[in-house]
Amino acid sequence: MISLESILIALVSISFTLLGAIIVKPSITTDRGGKIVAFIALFILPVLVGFMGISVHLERSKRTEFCLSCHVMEAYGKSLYVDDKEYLPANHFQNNRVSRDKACYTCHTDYTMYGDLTAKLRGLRHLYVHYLGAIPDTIKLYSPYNNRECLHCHGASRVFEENPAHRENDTMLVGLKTNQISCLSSGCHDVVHNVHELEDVEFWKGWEQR
Amino acid sequence: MGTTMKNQFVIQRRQQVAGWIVAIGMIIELLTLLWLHPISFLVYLFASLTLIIVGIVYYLISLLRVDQTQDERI
Repeated sequence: MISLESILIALVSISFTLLGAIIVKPSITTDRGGKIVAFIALFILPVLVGFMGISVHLERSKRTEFCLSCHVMEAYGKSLYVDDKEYLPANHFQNNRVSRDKACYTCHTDYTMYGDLTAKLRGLRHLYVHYLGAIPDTIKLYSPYNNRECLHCHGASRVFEENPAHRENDTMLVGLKTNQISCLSSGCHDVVHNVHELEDVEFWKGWEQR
Repeated sequence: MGTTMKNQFVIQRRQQVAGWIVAIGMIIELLTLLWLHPISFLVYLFASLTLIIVGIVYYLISLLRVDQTQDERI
């Protein structure tokens, strides 16, 4: 399958060829054919390349490696290898319940650039704080974790629907689906990254082999 | 005739400059693909994309000036 990056590089290569002709010999644009070449090289292709570039960068930003490229995230990456089933991110990551390549994005779909304008601006602020500010000791979500992030995979699944714990009473299931009852903070699935406890846990061998 | 040729030269020069600006923007874009980091995304947005847009706009302005030049002659 041809990747977006390959298409982008192909478009840029074609652009360079046409731009090179215009730069080296601008007199070609005097006739009709040359004007069409100029229009393609200086309008059509740059617009395509611009949009493709945004798509490529957005796709790349979904990758786990992208998120962990900032050193402040290293502990969160390490928490994916905790050898304990109770650790929700580790359980999902190690058992391929989320894509290893997009592990962070799968569960944080509204974070920074994937959220609204406020979230995007927060992403810029994170960069500012990371390089020029003081990184807080504990990183917290700005708002409670939304069940939507769990339900976009678990929703309507048999395990979720028929789990006795989710059917404790008549309103439990509805409450979970409508985010009235949190999957995490209700006390049931509340062991997440817990980065301050990583010194006391064991790690799956994959951590050394990654 | 002399004026026409001079105008053509000016327009070609502008298109050449627009070409350079767009090419530099695309080179920066390719370079940003080498580094998987939020900074490279920002460099793409604020450097590469800006240059590409500036180059496109400069080219379009050169086309508008072509029309203005022709109108003045009429």
